[in-house]
Amino acid sequence: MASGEIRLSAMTMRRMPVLAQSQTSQAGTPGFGSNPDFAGSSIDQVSEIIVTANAPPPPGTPTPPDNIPNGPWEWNPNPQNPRGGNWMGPKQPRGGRWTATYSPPTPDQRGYWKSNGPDGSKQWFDEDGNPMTPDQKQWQPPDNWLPALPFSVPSTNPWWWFLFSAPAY
Amino acid sequence: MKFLTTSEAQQWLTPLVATIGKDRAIYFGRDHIDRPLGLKAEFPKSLRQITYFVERAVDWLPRGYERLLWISDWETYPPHPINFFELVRLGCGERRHIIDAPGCVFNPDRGPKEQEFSAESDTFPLIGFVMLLMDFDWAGYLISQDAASTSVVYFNDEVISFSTSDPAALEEARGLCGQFHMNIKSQK
Repeated sequence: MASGEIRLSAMTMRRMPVLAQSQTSQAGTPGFGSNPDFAGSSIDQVSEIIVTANAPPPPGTPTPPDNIPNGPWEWNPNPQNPRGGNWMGPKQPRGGRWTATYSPPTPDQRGYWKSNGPDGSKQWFDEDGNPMTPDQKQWQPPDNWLPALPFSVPSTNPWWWFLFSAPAY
Repeated sequence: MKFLTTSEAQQWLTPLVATIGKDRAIYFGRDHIDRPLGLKAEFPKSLRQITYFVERAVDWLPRGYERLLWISDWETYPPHPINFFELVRLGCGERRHIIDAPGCVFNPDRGPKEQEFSAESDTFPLIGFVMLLMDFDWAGYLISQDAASTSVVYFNDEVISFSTSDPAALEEARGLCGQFHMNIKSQK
């Protein structure tokens, strides 16, 4: 069974008439289910229903911006993955797919996206999906950051932070 | 060699005043941030160089202390790297998945500093694991339990970082990167 699939056998549906009825009631024409292929058929003529759905990513998982190439990105859950799964691009004619992973900001680096190609290539993007170099992952001092002082100051002194810290915007 | 769960690894890190974050990154205490010297360099260019470089990077850690390899980020797609990695772990007697036991502690190397190669049998799988980690483009920490120097090697996204509070060890790391013609990106 593929990930995210629910299979309802005919026996299950006979034992759960409400479920079977809900399938029947959706039909625009007499028959079973809303799919026109099933028009005129009864529950007894269908051996099983396969419902497929993409499981949503874990709460708080960011979605790749649309402008990251090689999408659209689809969440593929995997309990062995440290992020709970992968954002994967469309299936390729041969070999693997593109994937996109998000790395949250740390004291050392800004948050960024990395896409990995089926040929082993990598591309980096900022949180808005703009291309960037790996070096741009590092936090850069803002333009209005004070220039380096020509003397050393005790950084543990709260007065230093009060007088010389950068504005918080 | 002993594989560790996240909580067991956290316990191992306690004497170093280090904590494992929700993102599996390791955060060191204020004392570590203030003291250590650091060096970041790009990975060696060829796989063959990496084979030799990793042996030197493992040898860079202080003698006589346990060593923790903590895998902080890995991929499950494509599937062959993680399947192979877990097969190697299985060969070392570990049946759990990486996500259930991402850490591994290796016995100390007690050989002299000037030794040609380590005689500690735990060093061989440690080198191999780090080589795979670098080749698969996963992220991880290699940490010595020597609280005096808090020596850490961090691998992520084709960049290796050495950090220590020992100026001589930093100089040694710089020499190591030079020997392998690695592009040094930053140092402090």
